[in-house]
This record gives sequence, structure tokens and C-alpha cells, in this order.
Amino acid sequence: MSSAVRKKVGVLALQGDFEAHGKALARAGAEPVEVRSEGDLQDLDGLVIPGGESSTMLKLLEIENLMEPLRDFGRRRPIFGTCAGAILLAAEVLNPSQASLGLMDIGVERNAYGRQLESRIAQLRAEGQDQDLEAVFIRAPIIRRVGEDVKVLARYQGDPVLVEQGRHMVATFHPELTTDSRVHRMFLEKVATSG
Amino acid sequence: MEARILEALEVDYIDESEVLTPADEEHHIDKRNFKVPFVCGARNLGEALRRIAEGAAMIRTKGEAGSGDIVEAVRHMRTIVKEMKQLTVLGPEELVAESKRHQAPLELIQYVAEHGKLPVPNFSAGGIATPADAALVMQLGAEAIFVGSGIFKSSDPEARAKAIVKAATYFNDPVKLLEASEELGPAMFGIDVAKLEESELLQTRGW
Repeated sequence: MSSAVRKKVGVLALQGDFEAHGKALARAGAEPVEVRSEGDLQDLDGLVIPGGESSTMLKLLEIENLMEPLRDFGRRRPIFGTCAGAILLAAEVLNPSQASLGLMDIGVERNAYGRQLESRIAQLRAEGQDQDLEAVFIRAPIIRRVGEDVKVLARYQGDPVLVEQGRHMVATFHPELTTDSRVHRMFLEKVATSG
Repeated sequence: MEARILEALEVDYIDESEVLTPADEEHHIDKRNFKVPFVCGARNLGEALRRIAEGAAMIRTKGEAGSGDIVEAVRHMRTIVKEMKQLTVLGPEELVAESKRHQAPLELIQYVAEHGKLPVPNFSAGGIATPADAALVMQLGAEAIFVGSGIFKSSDPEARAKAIVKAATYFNDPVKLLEASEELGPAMFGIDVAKLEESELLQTRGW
């Protein structure tokens, strides 16, 4: 990014692959900050909710009283959820139904491709890109419903896998596990343009 | 063969464990031919890299399973972390001899020398029974932890499981660790590994 000051972007570090996201953000030109408590959200320009196990993250969020602070942060600043993070940002969660932050008007089905054996790496083309992206799906969810204000940026087998709504963005795959920084740069553009 | 049956069951991963009686006393499974990921135990860097060369997707330090004694888990994690650190300060011409010393493939030795870590996640296991044990091995360099009997043989497994998960997240925050350690009831009844005979140890299985 050309701006003189590197954007500070938090990575929710309760569980999951927050370390890989921190490295991916640094490669894309941001300053990553690990977030484990409400105080860590101060002064952040954006936040990544990483992949991991969504019900474990949800329990830790509830025990640590972080649900409301995250919703509040999402009303002001961009959040990017990948895999489990996508599940936490959704309005509705299926298989089984569970609580979520409800910051994006999407419905998500957990473990929708099946068990670990169905995890896979796929090539897909995101909107505005002239080269394929490598998308790593690990026990991934499927976005079953998108609201009117949600824009689909990429699909795999017909299902949306990269979507945005306003300042927020969601991927059902793991862009942090490849060396390709394009998806993280897309999010950092949102961070740069929103306030 | 059991691994093929587990794969057909669509389990999420297989632990090629030293705890059950191994069917083959010399060889490990060629894990590259499986689609299901494997986690394997290791006591030192050479064991870890040999398992990775065979196709392991995750490594866990062995510790001493079922003991509730953290000392072996600490020893194995310290050994692996120290051996990785030592590689990072060596020159490229020294790595071939290191490959021979660790009995591990040169490409993996070169990876560790460059990155200072294993190319797969490094778990700690074998003897973790309290939130403090969990935080300790995380501070030593574990990226995650496995707990079995430490939870299931304790007086209140549900509360202890939650507390150990919390300790793994907040391993650097003593106030949160204190909260996690409160009102757990007695831990599992531990075995002092130093008092076990060599033949009773599980960790010495495999090579």
C-alpha cells in the first residue's frame, strides 16, 4: 500500500490459525495485532476473524464477554472472516444452528462439504482478477443464502465462497495458507477506504 | 490395516500412536498413500522430521502418555525447540552433516534451518493435567496441545477441559490462568515417570 502509515489490523487470537493470518497481513503491508481481549481492539483499523473451530471460538467469545465488543467494532470498522470467521459473521448458522455476530446478511452451513477427507485445494477466479486464486478449503462451510446487499466476488461449484457487504468481507476458504496476498490486499483496500 | 479401516470410517485424522501395541516394531506407516491426515509422536527433531518425511501432517511431542507427569512433555518440547534453534544459526555447508546426525532428510533440515520451525503444526502431549501445564508447554513453543487422561481421569472432566482450553489461549496471561485454575476439583492421580521402569514407558516405542 502506498499510504505512509501502515494500517493496524487485529487478528482474533482465541483459537485457530491466527498466526498464519498475522503473517499474511504483514506480507500484504499491514501491521498485525493479536486480539484476545476487549482492550486489544482499541486503535485498530480493521479485524480478521481467522479459521479454526467456530463453536470453540464462540464459547471463548461468550466466556470472555467479547460478543458485544466485536459487534460494536463491526459497526465502525471492517471485519474479514475466513472459514470459521465466516460462520461467526453470518446472520444465520446451520448444521447445527449456533449463535453468531450477525454482521453480514448471509446464511452459512457448517462442514458443508463433509468430513476432513473432503477438504481440498481449488482454483477459482475472483471478480476483478485476471489470474486464478488458489483456495484451500478445510472442513469448509457453504454460504447457502446471500442477502440483497451482499456482493458475490467468487464462486466454487456454483456456491459463493468470497463475498462482501459494505465494509465487511467473508471467505469460506483460507487465503492465509497460500503465499498469494491478493485476498488480504482486497481487505486492506476496504480498511483504507472506510474512515 | 487399522489405518485403512479408520480412513474408510471417514475419521478426521489418525494418531499413529505408541500407546496401543504397535503391530510393526520397526517401521512406521507410509502415510503419503493416505488421504486422511496423520499425527505422529516425536521425542526429538530427528523423529519429528522422519515422521514428516513419511507423510505426517502434524507432530506431537510424545511426553509420557497417561502419566499426568509434565516433565517428559517439557523435555521433548525443549529438545525439539532447541534442536531447531541450533539449525537456524548454521551455514548451508553444515546442514548435510546435521542431516546425517538427526537421521532426517536434508530438505527438511534445510526448511527448519530457514524457518526455525517444523513445516507442520507442532503439538504437545503426554502428561498435561492442569491449566498451568498447558500454559507451560505453550510458552516453550508448542503451537497447540493434546490432552487425554489429564481430562478424563480428573474429578470434573467438563470443567477441566474448559479450563485447559482457556489456558492454551491465554498462556501468556497469569491473571486469566489463575481464573482458569479455580474450582476445578482434584486433578488426575499422577504417576511419577522417574519411578517407572524403562520397559513400562510408552515413549520409547517407535524410532
